[in-house]
Amino acid sequence: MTDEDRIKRPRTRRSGPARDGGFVRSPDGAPSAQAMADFYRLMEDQIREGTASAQRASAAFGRGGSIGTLDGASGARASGDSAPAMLGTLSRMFEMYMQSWTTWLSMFERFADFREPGSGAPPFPEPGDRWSGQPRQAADADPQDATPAAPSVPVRIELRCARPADVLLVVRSGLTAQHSLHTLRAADPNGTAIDGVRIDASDVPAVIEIDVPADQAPGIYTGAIVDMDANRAVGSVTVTVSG
Amino acid sequence: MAPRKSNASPVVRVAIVGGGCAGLSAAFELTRPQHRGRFQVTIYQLGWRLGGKGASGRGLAQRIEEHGLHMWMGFYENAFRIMRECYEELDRDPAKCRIASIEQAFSRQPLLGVTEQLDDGSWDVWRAVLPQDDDLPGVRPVGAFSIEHYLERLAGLARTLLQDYYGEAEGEPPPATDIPASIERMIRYAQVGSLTMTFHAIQFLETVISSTASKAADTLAQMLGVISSSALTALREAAKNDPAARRVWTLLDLTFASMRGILVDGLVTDPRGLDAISHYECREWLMMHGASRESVESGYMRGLYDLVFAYADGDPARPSIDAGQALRGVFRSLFTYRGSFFWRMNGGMGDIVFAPLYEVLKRRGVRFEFFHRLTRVGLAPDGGSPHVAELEFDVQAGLRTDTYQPLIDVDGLPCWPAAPLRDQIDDPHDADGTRDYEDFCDPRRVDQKTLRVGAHFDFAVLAVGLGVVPYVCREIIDADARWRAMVQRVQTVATQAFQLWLSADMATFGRGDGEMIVSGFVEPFDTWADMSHLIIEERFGERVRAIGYFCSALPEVTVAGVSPLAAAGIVRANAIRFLDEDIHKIWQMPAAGTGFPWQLLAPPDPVAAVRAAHPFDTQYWRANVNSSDRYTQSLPGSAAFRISPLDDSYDNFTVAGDWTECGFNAGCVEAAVMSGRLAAHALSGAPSLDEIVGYDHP
Repeated sequence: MTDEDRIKRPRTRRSGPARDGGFVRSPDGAPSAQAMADFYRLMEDQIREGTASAQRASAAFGRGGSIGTLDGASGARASGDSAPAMLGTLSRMFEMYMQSWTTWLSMFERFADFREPGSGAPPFPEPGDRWSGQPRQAADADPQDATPAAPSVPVRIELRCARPADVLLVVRSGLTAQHSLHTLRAADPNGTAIDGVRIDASDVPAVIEIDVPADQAPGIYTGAIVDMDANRAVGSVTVTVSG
Repeated sequence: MAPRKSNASPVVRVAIVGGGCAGLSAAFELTRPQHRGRFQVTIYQLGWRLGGKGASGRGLAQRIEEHGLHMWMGFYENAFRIMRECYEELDRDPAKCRIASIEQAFSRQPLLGVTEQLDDGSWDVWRAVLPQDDDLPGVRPVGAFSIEHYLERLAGLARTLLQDYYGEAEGEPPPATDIPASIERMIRYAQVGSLTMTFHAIQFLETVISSTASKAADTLAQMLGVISSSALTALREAAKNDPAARRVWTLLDLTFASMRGILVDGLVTDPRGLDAISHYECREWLMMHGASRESVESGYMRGLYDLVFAYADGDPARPSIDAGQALRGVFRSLFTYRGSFFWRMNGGMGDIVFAPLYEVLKRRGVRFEFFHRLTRVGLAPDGGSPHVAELEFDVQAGLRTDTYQPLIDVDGLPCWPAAPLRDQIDDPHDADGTRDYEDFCDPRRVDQKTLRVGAHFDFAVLAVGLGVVPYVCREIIDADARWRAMVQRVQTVATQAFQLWLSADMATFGRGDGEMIVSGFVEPFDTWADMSHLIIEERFGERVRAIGYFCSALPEVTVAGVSPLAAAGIVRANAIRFLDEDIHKIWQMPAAGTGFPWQLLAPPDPVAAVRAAHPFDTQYWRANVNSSDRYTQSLPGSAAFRISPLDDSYDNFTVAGDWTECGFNAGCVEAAVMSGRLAAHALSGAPSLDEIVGYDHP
């Protein structure tokens, strides 16, 4: 039988599956304003949750003030006869909570590159100047922008660090003697923290002092600014140590 | 096959070698009414029954004897579609046949279990009831698949896990006078405060994923890192003394690692989809993306590997599965199932699947040649278009009738017998009636048959098990480097299985918590299933109150060079030892400290009980070491070497089986059916590729 006599199967146009699933993109590929609005709502939710958690903690102890030391026992489920250990665990959980949402704020700044122009979303809270502590000069208002300018916060940051570093300060109000800056910790709780930090609000502007050890590992370190009377977080400090 | 008549209508004669899911699916597609009889199909089958690795038979007391544990999954769109159409076409009278519809053939199986060894060395079975609904697989069209959708679903899964844990953490407040408990509760509030933030953040992440361009992938991955670090840290603290928290932590760890890996490796936009990571071993890939060793060695992961026998050479110390296919399988099974995660058959697989298919295909004019052992696929001599010129068979037994009638009637239900119907065959090599006609390596024959292209067939479909290919495709392998690579890189593994019929119910063994499938247990039998729903199908009467199926991979080192009979002896010994030493870890023994209660095993008949050297000998076990019975694996890097049914290197030949490039490259019914449908497309153009659900899939 010749080839011409034989019946042959049809040629197939493809020889394999199409694996390219891909994103389902919007027509112009841009992120939606809804995503940005959701993020702002998230921030507000977290502030409320953090406040509620701290209030529960202070109510349980029947007093205000600090919720405990920063170096309390970590991890172990507390027993009824080890109140200091429990307090330490509680404070550590709160630390993790705070550093998580404040790290989100730093992430958000990078994410802002994808913000859709003219989305109508409210502006970010403006941080102070990163190196000198001088508040950033307010930009000329855009006639189209009806949102109010952020309040200025008199703060000076004194950073002592052997390597290039970046400081981000987020704070909702002026700093006073009732404010305390917690140890700056990395996202990985096993990493070395930066505990040489303090707020000196005895003068104006208030000074945030940060001592970064020479052997500090590169990374992002965040700590909460806490109103010790209200037991409430009012801001954060994030230091990015370069490699 | 009759030679073509001159001037006859151009009927295309198709020889399909292998009567498993792939071959029967190809036949089902080629004989659809739309083809108007254009394809004349003959199926050549080793032994006496259809089914291949899925074949089952009715033994003494009409007990169902399977190759192993066969469960259908709720994402088997192609397989269910064919079975639905088959039952509709079969149109059995429900007054005469108790399994007359697909609804009677399959039932939802939502309960699955994963075993976990606790810190004190004891074992626990974690039960999961996956949500069911009224949806049915294989009915309505399925939308397009995308990794973006799976990412959203993963994020939703993470949020659900945390939300459930948060809900558990609330509980009832302790009395105000119980200060230690109050402090404990306060600590948990702090923990769940972190978790609350986390699952809110995940909710945001879900939104961002669905609306953000791919250039945000790096940022998304970093966000994910923050979320997962927070959630996992909080849960790890809680998990130290809380098994529920540990389970949530493990699942979250695996979920986050998967999400991170998808984003970091750019799988969302990679044109290769999940195949881009198919060279990685799944656990290795997860650890690369942050999963802990503890999580990748968890019961969940072991359960996944056990279900697909993902152990190189069957060695439990060498878990190995293609990361891309593993993710594809998890995504399809978890996020696209319909009705139920698992569907169980209300009979043996032979009764539920292969007998109906056989009957429908017979009605459509398909011819079946049983007792035909393929020995050679012969290529045409060089020159001209490459094609298959000959198919050689050993005829294992002669027939005393014109055609072999393979089915038996079990109270109105057509079934396959557990042994050939010897009153219909004539075989001088089977004087004692014990010959195993499914032993591919048994060369005994009563005749030889050679089919030639043009005279006896026009197209050929090789739908045998992969283990047979190296023996019968020598010419193709010698001529074609891709086939050489395929038989080297796409591997199979032997498996072992046994079944128990017990005169006590599962509650006696402390497992009266519902029929479930459990995996992740110890070797040599890491998977077992309560199959007590089959009691009604068998004829033990009141003597049997529970049925259990057990299976696992069979290490190559124990059966290399061993005859099937000897391998069965090894499995028997494994089973007895397992029942003596291990089963008590997850089954309570009726009398503690006395070993397995052998007296509770129900023999199929009194004669079997008398003949048994050991009570276990009245039960059923098997070593799936026959070349055609070995399970197809998805080892890292092997997918690239699979041959597609669409490959047209040979102009009258194609392949079908779960070992081919079929879109879902894993050893399962769905893959085999997809492959069979692809083979039919290759020969006829139908079904169209977009009708093969899941073929085009990341």
